[in-house]
Amino acid sequence: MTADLPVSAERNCPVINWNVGEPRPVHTYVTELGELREQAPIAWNEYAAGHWMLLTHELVREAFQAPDVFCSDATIFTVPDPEWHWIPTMENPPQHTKYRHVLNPPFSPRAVKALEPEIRRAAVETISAFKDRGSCDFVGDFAVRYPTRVFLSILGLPEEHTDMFVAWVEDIFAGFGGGEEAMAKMASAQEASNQYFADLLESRKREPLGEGDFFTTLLNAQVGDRAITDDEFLNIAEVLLLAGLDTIKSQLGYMFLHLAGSPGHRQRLISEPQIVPGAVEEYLRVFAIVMDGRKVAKDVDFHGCPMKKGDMVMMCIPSASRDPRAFPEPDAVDFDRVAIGHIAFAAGPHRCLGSHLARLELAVALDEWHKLIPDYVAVDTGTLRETGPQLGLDELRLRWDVSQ
Amino acid sequence: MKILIDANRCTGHGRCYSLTPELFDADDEGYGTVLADQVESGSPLAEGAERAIRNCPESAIRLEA
Repeated sequence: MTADLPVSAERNCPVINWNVGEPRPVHTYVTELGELREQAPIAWNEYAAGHWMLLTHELVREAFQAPDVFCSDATIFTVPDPEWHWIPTMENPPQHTKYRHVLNPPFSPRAVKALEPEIRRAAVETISAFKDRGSCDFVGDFAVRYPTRVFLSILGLPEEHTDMFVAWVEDIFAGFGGGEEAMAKMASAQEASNQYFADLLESRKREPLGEGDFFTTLLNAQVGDRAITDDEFLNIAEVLLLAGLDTIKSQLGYMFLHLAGSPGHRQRLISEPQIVPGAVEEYLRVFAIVMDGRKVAKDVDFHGCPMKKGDMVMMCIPSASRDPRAFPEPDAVDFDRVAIGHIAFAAGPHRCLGSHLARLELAVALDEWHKLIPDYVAVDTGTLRETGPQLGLDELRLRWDVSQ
Repeated sequence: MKILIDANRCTGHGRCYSLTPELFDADDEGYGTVLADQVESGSPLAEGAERAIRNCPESAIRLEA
């Protein structure tokens, strides 16, 4: 990006051509978005099909809170007319609200808290598998496997399926914006996971499990005043797989890259465990990873920019979360920050369904990792790359002393 | 002072009841509810309410005299 961007008279904002899926050196995305935000709160990106970019905390939040204008018919900003329909992600109120009434209770803070012992066990067992080696690829050995274990455990699926789920999720995410080969692998992973959930549906119909079983509850759910359909059940299962695993992996990567280079922050997490939940909030803010998309539902003048029905909008949460108008010294990692009204989990009706589970998984990871491996360094960081549009590291090499 | 949660704005981020459980709780879906709707101005509870207000991502909480 350059300092003086051309301004479009028609769109009344700067115009750029910014590749949103390109691997870049780690932290480049948030730096470039920050530069853009300080030039204008709204920009137009000519990349791919073209889309608006909302860059400040205030505007991103306002748009999330206005689903009648910024609707969820399409949520990947480079794909205005998707061939898929995710539930509840791509629903709009009032239908969206009906699905959330079904899905909110099993993902409520109370329900999630009851799973904490299982989550701790998943963390400890995953770390124990490589602890004595003195090194790991944090992403591949921990950040991918741990949330997958938690996911299976919460949904009542066998732990032995971890490797299978890890492979599906990797193939599916590599397929978004990937080449022909990646797309083919994505399609076969989607087919296999669909079949898995279809078999599961049949199995739960034949032999329903108790009240605590997620998929039995889902099978018996009422969407408004009617029973859930098989298609809805399978759609939701697939969406949980897509939404719940890669996000935690990415968030953990940035957190532990920071901690590996900051013994002071690490020490505080160890000596003051009560600050862990606040630290999680701060990490969610400073390393926000999601750049959600919305579709403009009707012609509107949004803060001076003429948006047309059908235009796509990129909700730049990573830049909103470091907006100095909302957060003083936004680039600093400050565990003592008193006001963190971040929107890393979005805002408005689509507030991340799994946010309470995510927070607990991140807190448990900070807790249990540092009990087992308190001192570590990141190696080969010069070659670290991140890839958008959902920001994440491909690998992170950590090393620690095992001589004692 | 009276603490109010605007149910039209609250989407269940849960910051209020995580930070100030003595004033707020969660319903079965995770939306915030007010436990003690009256707090004395300047009291520690009022400070807790202010903290929840400043951390609510939706600006759904307010204090009324």
